[in-house]
Amino acid sequence: MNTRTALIGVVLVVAAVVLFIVLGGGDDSSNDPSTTTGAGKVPTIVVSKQGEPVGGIANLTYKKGDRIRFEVKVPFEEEIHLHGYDVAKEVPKGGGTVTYDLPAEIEGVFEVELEGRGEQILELKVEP
Amino acid sequence: MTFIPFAHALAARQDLPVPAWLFAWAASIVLIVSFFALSAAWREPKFEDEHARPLGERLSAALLGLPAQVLCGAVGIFLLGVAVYAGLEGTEAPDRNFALTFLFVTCWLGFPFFSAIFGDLFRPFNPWRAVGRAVGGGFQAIAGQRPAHLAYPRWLGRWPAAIGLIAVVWLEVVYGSGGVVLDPEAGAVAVLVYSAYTLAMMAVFGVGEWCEKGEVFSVYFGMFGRLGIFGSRDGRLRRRRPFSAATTWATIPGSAAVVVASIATTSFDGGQEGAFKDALESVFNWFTDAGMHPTAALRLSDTIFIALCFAGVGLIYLLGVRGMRTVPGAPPFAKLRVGFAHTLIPIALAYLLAHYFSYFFFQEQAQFTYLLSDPLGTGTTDLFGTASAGVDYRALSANAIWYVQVSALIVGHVIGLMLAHDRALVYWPDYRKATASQYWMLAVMVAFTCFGLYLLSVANG
Repeated sequence: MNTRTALIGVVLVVAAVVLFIVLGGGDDSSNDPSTTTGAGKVPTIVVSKQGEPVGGIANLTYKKGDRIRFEVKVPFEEEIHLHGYDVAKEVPKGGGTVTYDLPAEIEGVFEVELEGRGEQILELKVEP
Repeated sequence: MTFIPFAHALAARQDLPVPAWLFAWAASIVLIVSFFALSAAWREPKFEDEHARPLGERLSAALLGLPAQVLCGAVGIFLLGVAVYAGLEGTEAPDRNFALTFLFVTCWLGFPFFSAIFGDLFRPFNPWRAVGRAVGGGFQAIAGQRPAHLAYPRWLGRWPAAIGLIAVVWLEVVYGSGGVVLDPEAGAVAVLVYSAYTLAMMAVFGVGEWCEKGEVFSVYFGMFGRLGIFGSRDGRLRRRRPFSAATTWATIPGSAAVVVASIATTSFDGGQEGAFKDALESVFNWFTDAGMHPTAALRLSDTIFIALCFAGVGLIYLLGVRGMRTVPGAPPFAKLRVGFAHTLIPIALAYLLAHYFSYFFFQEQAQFTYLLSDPLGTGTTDLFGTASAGVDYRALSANAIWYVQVSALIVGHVIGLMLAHDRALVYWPDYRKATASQYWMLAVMVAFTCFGLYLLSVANG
């Protein structure tokens, strides 16, 4: 009966797809401005006068136990909010730079927003 | 333009993608389990009979009697009223207002999760059913006769519920993304509009008929309730074999569309920030380049992808059914299509659990602390002394979430296979032919489960 053949075909296709995804899943940091951070230079997110992150929404990846370190440079008064960790910092009138430096304790994917404008400027990942 | 999936408006944390090694292991387990299921499966149907055992009369009377019905109905109406009031009068911030978390997390996810274990929990608390029955009872008391209703068209079946299910998800994940956030007021207005529509339909077709076929939430939550172990018949609470009540669920036309819609909408929501992200942005850019307003372009591209998911999931199922037709002695296509639809319910539940388990877990902390104490989110009330509490995102590790997600898909796959094999034994009493027919359903289940795993592996990636 050709149903058996069909099943074997399906199994082979699924196995091939799994293999393709697993083998192809290695370079997931190639497209966006994604960075796995270490002890080096502190990344800086620059926000334009239009209120958008220059170069698009940045991605920063940390391991649990690392320190989350980044700066946000904004040319106007705003509140910067790191969701999940619930850390908000005020940028004074006329603009300025705020610095985040805290332990990566919570695993997951988190947004950093210009709270007043509801604009996401950074996606932050904390992996186990 | 920033894409803002609805979940982001409520929850401050998203799941990490399932790592490649876990994806590979899980997919391998799915294949091995599937082959094992085919070789070791039973030869007589086990789930066609509910094997229901009535529980004690006192317990039944206490839980199913008129006082309990009135109480549960009143609780349902009260909570819906609180949600509407909070939506209309409370803060515009979606995460600080009781309304959206209650409607889209506590109810929309909670009833499927718990009904799948305990049976249909929504039915007694259904506020529209309670209002409809009260009005019907009042009419009967005054007029001395039951209200007359139109005959419900058989062909319409559960299609209104299937379309309504897609509409609810559309409101949640499409309307509430990209520039225009679904705010609590819009949610409350949607509830009022839906309430008017539902009560009108109940008046036309009758409360029981509409809840069985057309009322979105009754049909959707009731579908998962068929997996659960408790049910009632003739005023008596009964304990039944798990999953057995699902075998009679899909006999009403349009039922397959409901379960397909459930898998499709979860797939869309799970894939919009992962598997479908680039394709969605391409379509969105194409529409904006053509001069469309960004919000309209985003909604249209999302709508197209939801429709594609529905068509894709439906097509895979129908291909499996078509394949079974090639096995000698097969019933007609239409009978097979209806006869195996219930086997997708565990897959739909597994998708829900895999995609929303952590979201539900974390948001319920908000629901039962600050949203309960300060439902309007104005910061002026603290009913239970928990208004200043927060969500503890440390309570679940990424590893725990991954294992729950992957386990849900594998267990859903196994239950789906069990139900499909059981139904095949009804249609093909010859065990070998039944097994041959299940090569096809196995292919369908493997496709859905591996696709579910794939969505998790590239989610928020």
